Amino acid sequence: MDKPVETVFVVDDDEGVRVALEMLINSAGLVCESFSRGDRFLAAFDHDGPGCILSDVIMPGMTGLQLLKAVRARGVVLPVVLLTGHADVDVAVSAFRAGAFDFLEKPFSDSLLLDMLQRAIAHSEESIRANARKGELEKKLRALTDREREIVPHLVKGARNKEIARALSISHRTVERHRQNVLGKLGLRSVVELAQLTT
Amino acid sequence: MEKQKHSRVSAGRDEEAAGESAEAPSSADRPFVVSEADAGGDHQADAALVADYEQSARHKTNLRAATPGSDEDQDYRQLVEVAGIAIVVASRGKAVFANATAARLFGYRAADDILALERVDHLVCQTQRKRLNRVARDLLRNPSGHISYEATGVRADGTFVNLRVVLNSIGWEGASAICATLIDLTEREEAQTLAITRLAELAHFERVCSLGEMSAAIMHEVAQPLTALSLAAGACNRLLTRSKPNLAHAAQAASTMESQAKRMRETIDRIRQFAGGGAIRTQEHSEVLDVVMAVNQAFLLTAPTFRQAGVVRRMHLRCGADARQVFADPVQLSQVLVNLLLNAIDALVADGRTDGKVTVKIARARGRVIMEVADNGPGIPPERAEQIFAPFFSTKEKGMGIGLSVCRSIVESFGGALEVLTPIRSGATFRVSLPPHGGSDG
Repeated sequence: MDKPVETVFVVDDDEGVRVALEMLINSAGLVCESFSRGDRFLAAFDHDGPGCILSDVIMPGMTGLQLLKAVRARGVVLPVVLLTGHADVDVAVSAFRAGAFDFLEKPFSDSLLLDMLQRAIAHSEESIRANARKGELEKKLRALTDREREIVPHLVKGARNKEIARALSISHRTVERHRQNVLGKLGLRSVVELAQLTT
Repeated sequence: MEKQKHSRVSAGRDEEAAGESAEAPSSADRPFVVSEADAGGDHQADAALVADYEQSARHKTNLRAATPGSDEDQDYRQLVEVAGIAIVVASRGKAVFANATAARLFGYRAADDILALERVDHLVCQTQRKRLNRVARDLLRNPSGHISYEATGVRADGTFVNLRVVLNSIGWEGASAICATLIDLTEREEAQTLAITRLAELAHFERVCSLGEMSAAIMHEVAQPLTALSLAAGACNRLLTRSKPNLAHAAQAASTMESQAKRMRETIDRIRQFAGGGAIRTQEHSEVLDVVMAVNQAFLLTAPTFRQAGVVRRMHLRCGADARQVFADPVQLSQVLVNLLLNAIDALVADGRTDGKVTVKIARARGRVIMEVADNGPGIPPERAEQIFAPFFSTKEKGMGIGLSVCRSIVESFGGALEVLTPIRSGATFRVSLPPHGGSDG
């Protein structure tokens, strides 16, 4: 594991704000890594533990919104919180649409920031757990035979054995056997659990 | 009535009188009025406007009494009475007519009080009486022209009033007389001062408006250090109140707080410089300065706007520090540059350019310190090149259109010039040229 510790990544071109954020985050017992530009952050970022990304919106080079999209495109699950000098409804809307965790308007108080960081980190831990479950499931799905894997989408859709048999041109009995094997190999009790995990 | 249709109150007499004057240029023979020449000596010059008074006792009386009252005469008299301009007619050293405005101007209760003066030249201050009489005499000798000059009037209470005096020779009661129209310059000077004040207020208002437009950007400038300050304060507090206080880190946080507070003060000072004070400041704020300083200050003030608009800015230095010294008010010079920079950004944004660029070139040319603000926007059509400097001309929806006119008057007050250059390529280029202060030509 690279950094299982909770880490807050700060991206802000304003040195004063960056340093003060570092100080506060450190004083709260969290690890902080800060960057003055979005592209430098993306180049250096390699973290799969819990944490949070705090990014200014208006920056030279890459804006906070572009950074958010780039982070999401890389499949990073860390919550991204955007910091802005002045609340702009348009920016806020597109930030949330792009999947921002929260939006803080400068100036904000230290307690507001720390509360928000706590929520964001908890959220990241939750996402990590969910991801782990998903990864586990994917590993188990790979252990299924081709035939067994073939019926999984049908099961998830809630199709009955008879319908699956007709669709795949196999016997009703075979479908029933595959269903038992799938649930058994994945360690699930019902098709409902399977549907919950795969969506 | 019909027969008199074409005659003014004294038109007929006027012509007559003019003819008389022309025929009898010798002042000695003249039955009328005026001048030390009649008295024939400098020693008496002061005594002036000859008061050959008894000869025309009726001059003592006022106009109404003097002229038989046809309706038309009454009309013209009324006209003269209500005219906003002060009129005094003098003959033989005495006022023979004065309107109500003149009485008001000189602080008398009624026009008759002016007629009652021993001599009409008492209306001007003593040192100027000789001059007045000489001028009046010249005019009577050569009645075709008129004479206009500034004089100091004396009011009834002895106080002075600045006057523009226009003297004409007219016919009066069948003879030549001097008609003086008087304009109160004190009043006009006050009006002028008021107009300048208004302009300054307007300019100030305009700047406050553009300040409003900039306020979002300025809020950003204030929000940054305030954020840093409160976060550092929070960190400092935590570091000191934990079970094992970390004094070294707390001290670091405290010094960050200090530097951020200083940054806020500086930001506020800049805004105050920009928003506060009169728009038209006097030379007393001028100092010898390097124009690069003014450009830097303007860049600092417009930095958030540049950033928001995504416009790139550049400064090209084409001369050394000793060739860039001017004598000017640094705040006003920065204001001019801020205006030019914001105009450039506006033009680029309105044009929807994504590769907007503003270049400030500093050079020395033809013995002047040159600052050129150039953008790569749509430029200014040649037919508008002068129009844009006119007050209240604006192509922007929000602007009041006095930015450039104020800029130009500021630059001109430093002995410089502000002009639009004929575009060589695309975009608009504004050139500020200022006289250099010291330094070598280069």
